[in-house]
Amino acid sequence: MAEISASAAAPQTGAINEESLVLDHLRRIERSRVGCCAVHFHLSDLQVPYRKPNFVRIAARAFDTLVNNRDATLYVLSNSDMVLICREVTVEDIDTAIFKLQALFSEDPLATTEFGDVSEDFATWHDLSDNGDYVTFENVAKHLFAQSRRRETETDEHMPPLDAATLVQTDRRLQSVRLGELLRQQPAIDVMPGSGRKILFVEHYVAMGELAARVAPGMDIMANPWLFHYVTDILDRRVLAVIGRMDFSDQMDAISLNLHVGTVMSSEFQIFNDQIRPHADKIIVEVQMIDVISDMGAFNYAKKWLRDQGYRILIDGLYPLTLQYFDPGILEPDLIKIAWSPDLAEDTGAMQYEELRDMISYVGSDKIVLARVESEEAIGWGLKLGIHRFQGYFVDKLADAMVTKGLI
Amino acid sequence: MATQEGQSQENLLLDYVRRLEKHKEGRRAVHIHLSGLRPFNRREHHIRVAADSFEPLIKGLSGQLFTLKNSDLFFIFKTESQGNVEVAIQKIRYLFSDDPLLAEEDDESKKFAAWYDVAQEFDKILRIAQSMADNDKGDADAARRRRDTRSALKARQTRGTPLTPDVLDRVESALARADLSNMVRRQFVCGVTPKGVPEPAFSEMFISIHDLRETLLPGVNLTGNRWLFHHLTESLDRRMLAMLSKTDQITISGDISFNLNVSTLLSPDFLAFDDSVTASRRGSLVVEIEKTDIFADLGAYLFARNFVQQRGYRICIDGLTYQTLQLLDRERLGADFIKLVWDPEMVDGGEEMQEHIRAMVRRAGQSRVVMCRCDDREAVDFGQTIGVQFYQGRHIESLIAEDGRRRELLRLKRRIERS
Repeated sequence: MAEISASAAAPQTGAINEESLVLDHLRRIERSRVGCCAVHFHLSDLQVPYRKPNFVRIAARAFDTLVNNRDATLYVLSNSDMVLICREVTVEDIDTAIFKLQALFSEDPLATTEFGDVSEDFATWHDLSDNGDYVTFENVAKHLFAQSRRRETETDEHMPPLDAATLVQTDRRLQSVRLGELLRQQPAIDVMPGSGRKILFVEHYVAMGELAARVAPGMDIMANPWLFHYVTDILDRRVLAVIGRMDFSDQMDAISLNLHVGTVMSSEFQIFNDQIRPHADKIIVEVQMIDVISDMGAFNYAKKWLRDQGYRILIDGLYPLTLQYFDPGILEPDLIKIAWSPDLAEDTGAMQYEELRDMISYVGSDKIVLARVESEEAIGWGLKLGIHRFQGYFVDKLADAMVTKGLI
Repeated sequence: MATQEGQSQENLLLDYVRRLEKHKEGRRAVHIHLSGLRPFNRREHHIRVAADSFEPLIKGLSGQLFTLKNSDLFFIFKTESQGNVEVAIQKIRYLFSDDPLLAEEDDESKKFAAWYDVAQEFDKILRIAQSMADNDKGDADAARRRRDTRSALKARQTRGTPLTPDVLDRVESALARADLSNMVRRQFVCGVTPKGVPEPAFSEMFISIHDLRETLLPGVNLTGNRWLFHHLTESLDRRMLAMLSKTDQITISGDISFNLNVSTLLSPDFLAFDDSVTASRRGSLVVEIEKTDIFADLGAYLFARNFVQQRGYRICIDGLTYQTLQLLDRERLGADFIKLVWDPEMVDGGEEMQEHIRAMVRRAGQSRVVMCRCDDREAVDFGQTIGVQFYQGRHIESLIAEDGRRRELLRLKRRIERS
């Protein structure tokens, strides 16, 4: 995965500006536009899970046949949009390629109308022989060009991903980093009227950005999911050592910790368990879905043991998209955390809403915490789905205000 | 042999004997003490061959056989079959004739086979069955504990030092240079007929991790750290693709499958491979994706799936266990096949669990499920009771070898007859 994010679509290297090539193309054909058309593919409007540079590279291959055999040119723009300009190519032939492209993104509501057709918001056609349409498209192209220029001036610091070689040093630095300084707290609150104490739990977590700056300066430690898990696996044990020294007897709110299933079964956790006894009921263990799925036998065992000791279990690392494909309720956790992202507000299709609402009421809305809530919009989105437990930057502000007013 | 709790052979025997109380007349029983044989004579396949001697009698509904955990056989049968039962036991005696248990036995001895008349000795049989079932209960736990400690120790001895970032780095650079073509293994995925004849559907090509370790870094446990190993498989993917696109390195016939990470499917390496494969060949290639990989980035999986299926490949989700099977909906995930890892726990879980797994297999589609890591016959037997159609593993490989030998013999025989 690491490699892919590094070799992002070519335009980002800044060598060739494809937007300017589109304008050049328009200039070339301006005087003889008979039989010319352009199709603008709005890949930049896709939902976050499908908006990746390496997807675009593959998507572009849908037009290979057309480009190789006909008078057709495909431009892959710096915002991931694509523009196809053709001369004397039948709509049917272009459609064949577009259907292939549409099928690649079939899970995204942007690509398909509710009748199964290619959505106009995904692929916009312009008949360049028509003067009005030509001007419209020229303006679109100019706008895209201006945007790309702005993007070029923004210094896009693309950090290289962690790899095995750099992990060796990171591993060494991890052993000596002072973790206590990097621990942060963030509450999760319940906004349901009459829910008693509003704070559900306070998550204690490691500030990853700051940690990365110390143990892997200049590297993106999250780009490679497997190596990132290796890093956090080591952190688990260090976090336990710090938290184990906390005094829980005057701790009012429950706290949550991110741990691997393997850590729960380790001797470090046994020591932690002895240290914090009898306050296990104040601790929620957050485990990642990917960790659970990779060894579900171990998860079931750990879950049972944790419950017997009084701990609660939260499944983390889920997105609205994952919820449409898997029922995390099968895992019988106490809580499930779903990550919000800003594009959800505008991009959630009606169908997706229905599916999510069903899934949430099936799992039980009391079990769900919407995390990474950065705006009021997110809370509105969640409430519409019946979610009433939230965590995130916006929630922090909300909690502060509630404290000021003496509500919590 | 099955280590069954609740449904163990010992319990089934006890249950059967109890129900026999009303039908004691005209029945006899024989207890064959295979547990007295030397250990090297009572390995699993020995016991199976011995038990098979009763097969015709069981098929003819003349009796019921119980294979106990201590390797003993207990056969309860209708008196009129006495002659056939004696023949069957004679066969078993012959099988183990060089074992001290039989070599030193005088004819009248009951050491090897003890006979009972059910009507006259019912209480005695009931007592035996009862004590077998009691022992079984205590044994099951103890045996599991023993097995756990033993296997943990064995694993530590054979695995060696764990994979660290330092070692990972060295393996990765070594991988770039190493010739892996002689480490490629092939294992068949087969349907198995009721007679136990394997019928290949496709074969999986994979790089032997054991060989890789022996060659590159003896003494290092490559799979010791799950996350680092997963990262390593991305390097292996690239080498595998390079080998597959050069057909002079590996001769490929028939439909084949191979493991790839989702990240690899979206990489330039796969695109280059795809370009080197003819359109007609793609239909015979199955890409296996490990289940964990789907959760690493679901959006990437869905896109990669759309892409490779559009190109003509088929997709198989690998590494599902009976626990994870319920979480993943094959149809929803758009996979052509799923692989379910065989685990004796599935039998141990009793009737309720079996029904649950049967329902999950039905939901996934019986012809879409491959039961993999079938190390013994029990896996296939169980798979057939829950409707699985395809199998893979060491047991299947031995069935293929056996089938090959049988065909060879048949060919020889025909040639002799002709001459």
